[in-house]
Amino acid sequence: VVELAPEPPAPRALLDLGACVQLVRQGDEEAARALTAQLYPLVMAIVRGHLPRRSGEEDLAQMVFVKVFAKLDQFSGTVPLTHWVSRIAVNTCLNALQAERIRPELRWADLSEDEEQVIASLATKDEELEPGHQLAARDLVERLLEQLNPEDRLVLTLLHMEGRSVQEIRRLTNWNVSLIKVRAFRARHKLRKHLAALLKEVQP
Amino acid sequence: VNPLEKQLNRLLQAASRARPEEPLAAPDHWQAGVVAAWKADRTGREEGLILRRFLRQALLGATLVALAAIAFGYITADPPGDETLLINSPLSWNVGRGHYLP
Repeated sequence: VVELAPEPPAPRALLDLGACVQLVRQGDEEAARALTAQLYPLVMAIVRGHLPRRSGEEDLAQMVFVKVFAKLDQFSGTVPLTHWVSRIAVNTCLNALQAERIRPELRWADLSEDEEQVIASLATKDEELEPGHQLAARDLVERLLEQLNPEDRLVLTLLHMEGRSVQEIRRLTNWNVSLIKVRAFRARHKLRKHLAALLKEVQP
Repeated sequence: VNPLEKQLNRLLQAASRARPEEPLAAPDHWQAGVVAAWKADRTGREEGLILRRFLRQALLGATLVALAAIAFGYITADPPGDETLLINSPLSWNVGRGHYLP
């Protein structure tokens, strides 16, 4: 018996988004399925970047798609579909963050062992954190961001975690440039205060 | 630069390098769920549209009937000072067309 090697997956055909949108507007299920498959990586990346702690990413992504389909008649086509969908995804995440009202204070005892090491390393060394600490650093930043209000959290995530420019944030949130800069400055200040509280534990 | 600011920068830089894992393709059952939710939403909207259209027509009909009743004298407003509304239809218990209750 000759075992055949599994065939490599066929490259995904590029979808004509404009035609697909037209078909979805007419209620075509296959087109809706194709559009979902095409936009899934984009939506999921945004949802994962801004997910509230108690939300399921798939539920939130589904909410985004239902909104996208429900509002598809309002899509004028003046901006690329991906930009329009990104904005809906960011707004949906913002609404989910706003719904998550309880923001418990982060204490030293709440940190994992790796997160404690990150704080200790920040307090005692001047060089960059070791690559092995990057994941723990990300978890720690996410926990620190959870203590901020949703808009502050969103702006810092977009700016520092995703490395987006102010113009990109303006396009995604519809906030003006001054508001973004002021909000980022104030949010950073708050984040610094929360970090200082943790650092006090290792360098009283 | 403030040492705390430096520490925050180092933390944010390290955190931004730990990229979240790339999302894979959408699972089939999940896609089916999205399409089903979209269909249910679409059906709900269409039903809501039909209901709204029906209610609008019913309201228009009721308004026309009321206007006709006023025009033919079946419904009259009270004289000033009296806030009760009288319906002087031949079937009502009332005293008859053109009269007001004391």
